[in-house]
Amino acid sequence: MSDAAAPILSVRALSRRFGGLQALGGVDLEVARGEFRAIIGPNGAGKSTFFNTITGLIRPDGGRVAFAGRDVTCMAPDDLVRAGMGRTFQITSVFADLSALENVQVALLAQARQSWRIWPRAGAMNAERAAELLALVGLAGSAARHAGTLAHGDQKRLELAIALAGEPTLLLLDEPTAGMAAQERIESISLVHRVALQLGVSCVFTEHDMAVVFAVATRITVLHQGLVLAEGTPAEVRANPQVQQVYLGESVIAEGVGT
Amino acid sequence: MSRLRAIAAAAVLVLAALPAALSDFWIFIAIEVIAFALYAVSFNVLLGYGGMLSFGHAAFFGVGAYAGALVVKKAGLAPEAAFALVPLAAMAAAAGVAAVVGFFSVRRSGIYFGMLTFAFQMLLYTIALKATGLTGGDDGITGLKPPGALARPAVYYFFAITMVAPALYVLYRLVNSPFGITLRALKANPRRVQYVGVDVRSHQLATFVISGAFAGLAGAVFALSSGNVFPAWLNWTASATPIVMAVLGGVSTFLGPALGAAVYVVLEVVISGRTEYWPLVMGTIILALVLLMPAGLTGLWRRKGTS
Amino acid sequence: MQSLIETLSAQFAWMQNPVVIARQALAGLSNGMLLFLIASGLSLIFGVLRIINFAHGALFMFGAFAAVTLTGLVPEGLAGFAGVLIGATAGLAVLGAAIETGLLRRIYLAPHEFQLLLTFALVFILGDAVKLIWGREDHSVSMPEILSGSTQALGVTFPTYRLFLIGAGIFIAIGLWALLHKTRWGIFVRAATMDRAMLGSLGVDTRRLFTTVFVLGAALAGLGGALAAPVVSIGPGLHVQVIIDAFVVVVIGGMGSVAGAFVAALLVGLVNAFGILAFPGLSVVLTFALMAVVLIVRPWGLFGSPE
Repeated sequence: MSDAAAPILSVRALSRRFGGLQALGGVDLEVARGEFRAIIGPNGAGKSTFFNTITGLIRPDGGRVAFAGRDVTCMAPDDLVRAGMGRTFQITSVFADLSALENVQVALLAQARQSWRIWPRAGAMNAERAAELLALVGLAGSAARHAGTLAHGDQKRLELAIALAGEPTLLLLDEPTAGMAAQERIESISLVHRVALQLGVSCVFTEHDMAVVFAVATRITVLHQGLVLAEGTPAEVRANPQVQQVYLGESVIAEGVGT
Repeated sequence: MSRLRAIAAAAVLVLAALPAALSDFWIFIAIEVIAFALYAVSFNVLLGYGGMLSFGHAAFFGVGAYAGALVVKKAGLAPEAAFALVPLAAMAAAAGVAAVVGFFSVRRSGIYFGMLTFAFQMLLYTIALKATGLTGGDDGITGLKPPGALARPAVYYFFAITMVAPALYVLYRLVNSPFGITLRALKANPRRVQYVGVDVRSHQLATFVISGAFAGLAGAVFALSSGNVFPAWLNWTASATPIVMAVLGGVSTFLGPALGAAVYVVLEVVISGRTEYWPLVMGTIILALVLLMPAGLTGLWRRKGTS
Repeated sequence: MQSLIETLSAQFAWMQNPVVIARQALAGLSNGMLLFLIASGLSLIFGVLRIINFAHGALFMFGAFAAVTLTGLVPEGLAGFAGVLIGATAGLAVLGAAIETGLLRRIYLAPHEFQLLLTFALVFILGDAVKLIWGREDHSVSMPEILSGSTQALGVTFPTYRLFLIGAGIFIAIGLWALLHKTRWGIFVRAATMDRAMLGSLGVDTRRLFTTVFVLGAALAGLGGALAAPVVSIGPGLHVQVIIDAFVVVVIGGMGSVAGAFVAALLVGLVNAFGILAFPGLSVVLTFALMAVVLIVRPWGLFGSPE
C-alpha cells in the first residue's frame, strides 16, 4: 500500500475557491522523505487552506493528494491520521478538560484502535508510552495537570506529543510558533526538529517568522495568491528576486529577521 | 479509598433496610427514584461526558416503557416469561429507535443536534398517540402488573435495584474506559479528536444508542411499577425532566444526576401533594437553579469541601 | 380488494369537489399565516440569540388571553378590534422585554442546557400563570361584525375572517421583509444570523440588538395570539400544540430564516388542512413526516444555510 520509493507527500494541481476568492489556484508540491519543509507566504497566500485541504478538513475543487504513494484526496481526517499523517493547529488545539497525560492517552488509544473498548479502565492503558512522549517534548512534570491550565508554549508542546502519539510518518504543523515570544520560537521549532529527526518523521510546516524558517528548513516553498511562487533550498529562495518583491514591506527576508 | 468503601457499604445497608421502614406509598416513590436515577445518569453520559444535549430523550424512556408494557400485555406469553423478557425488550426497542434517531441527529452538532432529537421525539409522541391499536392512544396502556410476589412494592423494589444497579455499573465502567476517555476528549474538542484518528460520528452514535437503551430500561422498570404508560411520557415537556435532574445534580459527576433525580422526584411528590400549581413551583425552582447554582448540588458540596 | 378501492375512492372523493378544495386551501393558508407569526419570531430569536425559546407558544397564548381581557374593555366594532390587536401586541412586547432583560440576558454565555431549562421553566410558569389569571375554563372572543360574515369569490363562499387573516399575514410578512432588508437594524439582524463574529466588526451594540429581537418576537407572538383569538378556543393548553407546529415550521424553513418560516408555515398549514381530509386522525403525523423528509434531504431546512 505504501511505496517506500514514492515521495512522502505529492500534491498535484490542488485548487479551491471560496466564493470569489481563489484560495488555491492549482498548487503542485512534492516533499521527499526526511525533509523539513517550510511553506511561507504573506497573509492570505493560501497556506492554511492548503493545510486544511491536504488534511481532509476542506474538500478541494480539483487536484490530487498522494501520501507515500497512496491517493488520499478527500480522505476523512481520522483515516488520514491512522494512515500516518499527523497535524497540529495554528490556534492551539488540545483537550482542555483532560490531563496532559490523558490527552496523549486518547491519541494512543485511537492509534491502537482501542477507543471502542468500553470495559477496561483507561487509567493505566498506554500510560507509560504517554509519559515517554510527554518527556520527549519536555512536559514530564506536567502530566497530571489539566491541559487547559498549561501555559501557551506548553500547550503547543502537548499538541506535538498528541500528534506524535499517532506514530506519523509525516507531520504537518500549522504555524508551530504562533503566539510565542521570539526567543521561545527558536526553542520551540528546535524541539520539533530534534524530535522529528529522532523519530524519522518528515515535516511540513507553515511559518511567518523567517528566523524560524531559516533555522531548520531543508527546503522552502513560497505560496503567493494561491500559487507556488518559488521553491528551493533556503539559499535559493533567499536569492529569488520575485520572493524579495512579494515580501517587500512584509518582512526583511534577505536578513532573515523575524516579523 | 476505605472511606469510599464505608460510604458504599452504608448505602447498601440503607437501600436494603429502606422497604422495612417505608409505607407502600413511599416504597413506590423509592422505586420511581431508582428508575429515574438510571434515566438521569444515562442521559448525562450523553450530555456530561459526550457533550450532546438531547431535547428528546423522553422518547427512549417512553419507547422502553411501551415495549415493556406490550410484552406483558400483548405478546401472549406466560406472565413470568413475559416479565423476564421485559428488560431485554425495552432495551432492544429503545436502542433500535435510538439508532435511527441518532443516525440522523449526530450529523449535526450543538443546538441543531438538540432540535433534531426534539423533532424525532415529537414524531414518536404522535405515533404513540395515534397508533391506537398498538398503544391505546390517549388512554395509554393500563393495568400492568408484575407476576406473583413481584406485584408487591417491597419486592418489586429489590427487582428494580437488581435491574438498575448493574446498569449503573456498566455505565460507570463505560465512562472510565478507553471509550469514555475518548468521549470526554470528543466533548472537549470535536475537531481535534478527529486528528488523533477517532471517527467522531460513530462514537457519538454509539453513545446515543447506549444512552437510549438504558433510558428505555429505566422506562420499563418505572412502567411496571406504576402499572401504566401514557403518550405524555414521550411529550416534549417530559424531555425537560432528565435535563433538570442532571443539571440539578451536577453534570460533571457520574452519580450527581442520580442525586438530582432523587431530589426532583421527592420534590414533585411533596409539592404536587400541596398545590395544583406544581409546574409553577417547579418552574420557579428551575429558574433559581439555572441562575444561582451553575454546578448543581454536587457543586455546592464540592465547593464547601474545598473552601 | 374491491372494498379497499371503494374505501380509498370514498376517502379521496373530495378531490372531485373544487369548492371543498378551495375552502380547505383557504383554511390552510389562514392557519399558516398565524403559524408564520409565531414561527418568524421563534426563528429570529434562534438566529440572533441562539436560544430555542420553548416559551414562545406561551407568549402566543398570552396574546390570545390578552385579547379576551381587552375585548371586554373596548367598544365593539372594527376600531375596538384594532385596539385589541395593538394592545395585545404592546403587552407582549413589554413582557418580552422583561423576560429578555430580567432572565435571558444572564445566561447567554451559559451552556446550552441552562438556556434550555430557563425557557422550559418559563413554559411551566407562564402556563400556570394563565390559569391563575384567567382560570382553567376555555374562553372565546367574538370578531367584529364586519369580519364575521362570508364573502363570495370565484363562485365559492369564504368566511371573511379567514380572508382577513391571510391579508393581515401577507401585510406583516411584507413589513418584516422591509424591516430586515431596508433598515440598519435589519442588516445587523441578518448579519447576526449568518455570522455572529461579524457583529463585533460592525460595531453593533449586541445587548440592544438581542433585546429588540426578543421584543419583536414576543410582539409577533402576541399579535398572532390576538388574531387567532376569534377562531380558536382559548384555554390553558393552547400553547402546547402551537409551539410544536411552530417548531416544525422553523425546522422545515431553516432555523433563523424568516422567508423560510413564511414558506414552511403556509406549507404546514396546507398539509394540515388537506391531511385532515385525506387521512383523518393522522394529519399530525403528516407534518412530522414532512419534517423528517426535509431533515433527511436538507438537514439545515429549505432556506437555512449549513452552519
